[in-house]
Amino acid sequence: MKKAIKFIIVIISLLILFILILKQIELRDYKGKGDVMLEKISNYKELNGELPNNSTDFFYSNEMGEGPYYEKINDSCFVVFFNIGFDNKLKFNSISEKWYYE
Amino acid sequence: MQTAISNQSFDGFWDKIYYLDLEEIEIIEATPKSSKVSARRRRYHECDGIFNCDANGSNRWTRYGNNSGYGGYSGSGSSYSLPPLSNLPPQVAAALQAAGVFLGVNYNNRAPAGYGYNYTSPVRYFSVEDLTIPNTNSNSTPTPFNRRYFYYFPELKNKITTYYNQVYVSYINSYMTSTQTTLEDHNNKQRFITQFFKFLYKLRTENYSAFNYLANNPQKTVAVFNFLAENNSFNAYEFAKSTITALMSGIETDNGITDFNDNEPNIKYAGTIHDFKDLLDNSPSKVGAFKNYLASEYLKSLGNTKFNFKQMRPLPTQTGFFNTKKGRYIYTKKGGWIDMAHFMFYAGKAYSYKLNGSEKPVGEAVQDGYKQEWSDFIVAKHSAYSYEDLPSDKFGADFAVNHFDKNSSLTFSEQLLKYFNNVLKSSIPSDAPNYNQIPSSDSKNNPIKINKTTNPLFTK
Repeated sequence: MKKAIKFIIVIISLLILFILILKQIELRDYKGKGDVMLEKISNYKELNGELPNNSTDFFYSNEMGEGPYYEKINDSCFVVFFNIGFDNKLKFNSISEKWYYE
Repeated sequence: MQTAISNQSFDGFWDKIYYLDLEEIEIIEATPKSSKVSARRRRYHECDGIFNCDANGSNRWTRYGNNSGYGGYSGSGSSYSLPPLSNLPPQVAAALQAAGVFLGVNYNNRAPAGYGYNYTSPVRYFSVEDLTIPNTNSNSTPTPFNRRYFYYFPELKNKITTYYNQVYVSYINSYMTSTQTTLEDHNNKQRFITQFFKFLYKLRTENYSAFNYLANNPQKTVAVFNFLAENNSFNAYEFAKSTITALMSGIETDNGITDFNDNEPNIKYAGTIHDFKDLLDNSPSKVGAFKNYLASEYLKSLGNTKFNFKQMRPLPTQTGFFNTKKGRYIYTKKGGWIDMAHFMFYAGKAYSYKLNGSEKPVGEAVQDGYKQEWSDFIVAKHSAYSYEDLPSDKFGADFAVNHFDKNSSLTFSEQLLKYFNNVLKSSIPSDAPNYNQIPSSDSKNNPIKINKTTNPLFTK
């Protein structure tokens, strides 16, 4: 009986660990795609001295999926985000310079 | 000496004052009857010049409550901390320095371990009462927090207290509520509070209407405070200023960066079926212009999903494009509000069911919609059973199964337009009976109404 409980605990722990790893991989994939866009924005700003108005300015072709999408907020601030599902976002803003779920 | 060591909880400080003659130090407890010292030898001296003398000329060891482990261990039960070393009389400071005691006081850093003791320097804890608020005249002395009257922003009194009492605890890598904190944390918070008030004073001078706007909108003031507390940089202050100005015109301009708004969807993304048709026609792949086979393939792809490990459920991969676009929410007289992200996704699902030979593709797609709302209830409670979700699912499925014609001469977007005009009686957002109640932008609040059926609400 004890052995069975131990076995179940080990299996559940491994499963949780596996899911956590997959979560991190998923997040890394999103960030990887987002960072490509961030680099393009940074290059554009370096060349032109201002933020691009939209993603076509820096020749980023958006597929009609989760993103990433670019939005200029004002002359000094922008956001890059993924639309996940119906109502969630993974977002980067140039103020905090961090990726976060919303 | 031994008595002093066994009676005190100096966190190892005793070895720093080893060279002093503790027998000569007077100890007066705050509550003599309960003091551990009282049970032992108690000697009252006149001020002996070792510690600060009180009004009566005696010296005091100040008794502090046990401090929950923030910044250092203080022993169990009642404990004693030394008064700040910076207050020591010069001759005593010199004596301590001669004895090798470090007097460049940093109460937070652990002193190096030695002789089996992992001791810390003496700890003094700070509370919100130690905060000061700068005055408009930067030359005048700041006012202690407790004596400050917040005339324009009464809500800040509570907000600052709550903010101050959130203490980061490295042991658990998280925040806890505590009325005491360390010098370092206190300094950081004091620095931010000073900057925040200077920001408000500057705002009053440079843009009085923006200042007045904040004074009249306590929730916005708190949101600005939260945002700046999290992003304490020059850019953030500049950004806050421009966003407050934009907010005064009632427009959400920042894509939720600041959360200064109430942050709810709808009006921002509300549009007409023509807006949505333009969106499809001008999309990167120009999907609106698709006909026949291409239109059929596109419709099928709208139901694609991918398992998401953050939410632990499959999520749509193709409809995210519509989430943050004008035209996501369309008002129709027969179908109420339609959420086009839901509409398109369940159109794709139902169309796939139909192509796979299902007998009830609409019913199956709607069942999927119910499952999704149920799972929303667990992982995204704020959007579960929003009143437009299930009707949108049903109408999407209906369009794909009963109205979309692969062989039609009309483009995909034209067929959609036809369905909205002929079946749902598409209208403009302001025609909706609840137009004045719907939120202004993306929301994490609960929907204004819940609907657990596919029957539309707010119809005409």
